Amino acid sequence: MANQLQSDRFYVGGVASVAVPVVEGNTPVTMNVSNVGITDNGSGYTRSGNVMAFRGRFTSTGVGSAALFSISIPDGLTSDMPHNAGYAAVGHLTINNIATSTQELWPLIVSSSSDTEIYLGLSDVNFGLTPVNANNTFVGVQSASFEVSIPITEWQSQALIGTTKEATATESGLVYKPVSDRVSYTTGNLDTTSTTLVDLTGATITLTLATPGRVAYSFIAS
Amino acid sequence: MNIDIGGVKEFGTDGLYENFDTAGYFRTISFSGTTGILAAGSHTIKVQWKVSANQGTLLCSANQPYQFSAWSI
Repeated sequence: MANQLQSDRFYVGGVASVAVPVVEGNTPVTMNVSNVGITDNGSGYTRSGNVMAFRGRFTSTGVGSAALFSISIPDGLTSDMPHNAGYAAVGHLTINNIATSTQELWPLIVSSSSDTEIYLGLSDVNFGLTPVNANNTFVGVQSASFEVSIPITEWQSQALIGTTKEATATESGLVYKPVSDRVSYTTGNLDTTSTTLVDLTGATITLTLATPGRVAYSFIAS
Repeated sequence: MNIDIGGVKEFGTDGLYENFDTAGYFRTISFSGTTGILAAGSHTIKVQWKVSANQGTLLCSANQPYQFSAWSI
């Protein structure tokens, strides 16, 4: 059974989760997460020592059986990696009883050793849960879910206090910032007598999209 | 008024139409919209304008500027 969760914006501390049915039997559970991107607003995560991580969490209820919980990030690292970034692209953990607790894996960690912007983009993350008992069979599992998040460690969060950030609900800061720009023309009335469309002086914006997507625009004048 | 993205007009050949039936009357011109899916990469987004006849004036000053913004969503 395959499940897919897509998100194009994540916040530090934010969580996306999906419940995946795990049934008794020998069908492995997989989930694909795509378009996970984190970056900053140019002020919050540009100092040395910041660390971001990609965390996968698996929880379940029931009287479980042994399973192998795995996360793989095959080739989806879309960002230019920050200085001294290190990551392990594959994490796996054997769970003796999948009903006993929440299990976490941290398959990817990036850090910065200089004042550079951290940006982390993942286009393809695969979660898997495979029964590994004697019969390769899930037994007694009632429910399970995968959860992905991009946390930042406490002291690093503290380092953000006092800096400009655009999301403050958890004092964690914005980790995905849409590309945006605004122009305001104040230097005098503009006239036209052109009966064919011509560019309005100053009203030009160039955006660079990291991934395909829509752009919203707004024009206000009198 | 129209929005031009890489040479493609968002509102057709002529754009959004405002009928100024009396010379010297002021009108508020404001609009917003959303593009279709744009490819990854750089996109230049422009506001364009024209008149059907005579002269059009857009009032712009420090206290009365026009503002144009665009952002990915």
